[in-house]
Amino acid sequence: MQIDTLKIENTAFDVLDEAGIEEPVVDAVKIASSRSIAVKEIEMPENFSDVAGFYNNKEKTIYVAKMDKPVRKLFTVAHELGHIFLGHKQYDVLFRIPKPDVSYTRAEKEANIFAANLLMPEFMVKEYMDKYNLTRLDYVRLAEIFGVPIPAMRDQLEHIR
Amino acid sequence: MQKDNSDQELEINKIIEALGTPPEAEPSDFIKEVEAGSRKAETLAEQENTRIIAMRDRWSNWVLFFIGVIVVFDIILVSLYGFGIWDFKDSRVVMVVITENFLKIIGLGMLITHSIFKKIYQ
Repeated sequence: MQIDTLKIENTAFDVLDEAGIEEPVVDAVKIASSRSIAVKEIEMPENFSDVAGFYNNKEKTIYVAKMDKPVRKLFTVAHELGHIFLGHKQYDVLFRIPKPDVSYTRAEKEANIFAANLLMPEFMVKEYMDKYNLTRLDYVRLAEIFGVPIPAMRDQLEHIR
Repeated sequence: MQKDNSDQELEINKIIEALGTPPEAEPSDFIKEVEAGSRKAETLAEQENTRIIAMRDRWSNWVLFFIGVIVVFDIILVSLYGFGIWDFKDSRVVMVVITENFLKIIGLGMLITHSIFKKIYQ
């Protein structure tokens, strides 16, 4: 079954609407805490240094790798929130660099789409492109404004109509 | 390689086990760093945009001036020829000059607008 991107976009939009967020940076930590979900920064254990984050359902805590850049941490939190808001039952840990030998599960792909639409919703990106006379080629500047990793912004701009 | 659900759960459990006692909550203030970076980027974007708008105003005036000069030159040239003050002997000269000037106008306009307003054309 194909991923329902529109439904995920709408879910992310509803979350933003409920939180009253209309401009970047989208504070995913605040969204998490509004749902009584804690965000903790930890040093990932040995042998798990490539893990960017995961959600511990029992403790209602999102763990993010302390050593990651702030923008990466924010994306990790948004990704884990994606699993929660999309009601995933089973999902993987988020790897910092996608493993070449791993084909990501549907849940992981959906969580990434959610994170992209939570942190860089189409309406907000278009508004800021107009505001500062920016084009799709200004993805670095847009990534800085939205506080997201550059590849994530480049990818999102490809999907914006 | 597709992982099944039990593998995924195992992976998270392995990390939790390796972590031992859950670490004390550290205030996640990374968001402040992200917001500071965003504010800085917005300021730069604002400054860049202001510069571009100023440059656009300045250059559009100059472009208008250059086009005006060329048009006036053509009017004078044609008038001089028409009133018999100038005689090029061969009337094709005037046609060539006018055509050349017309192309100059088009070329100037295209060149400048494409280079100055590059962003709009992308």
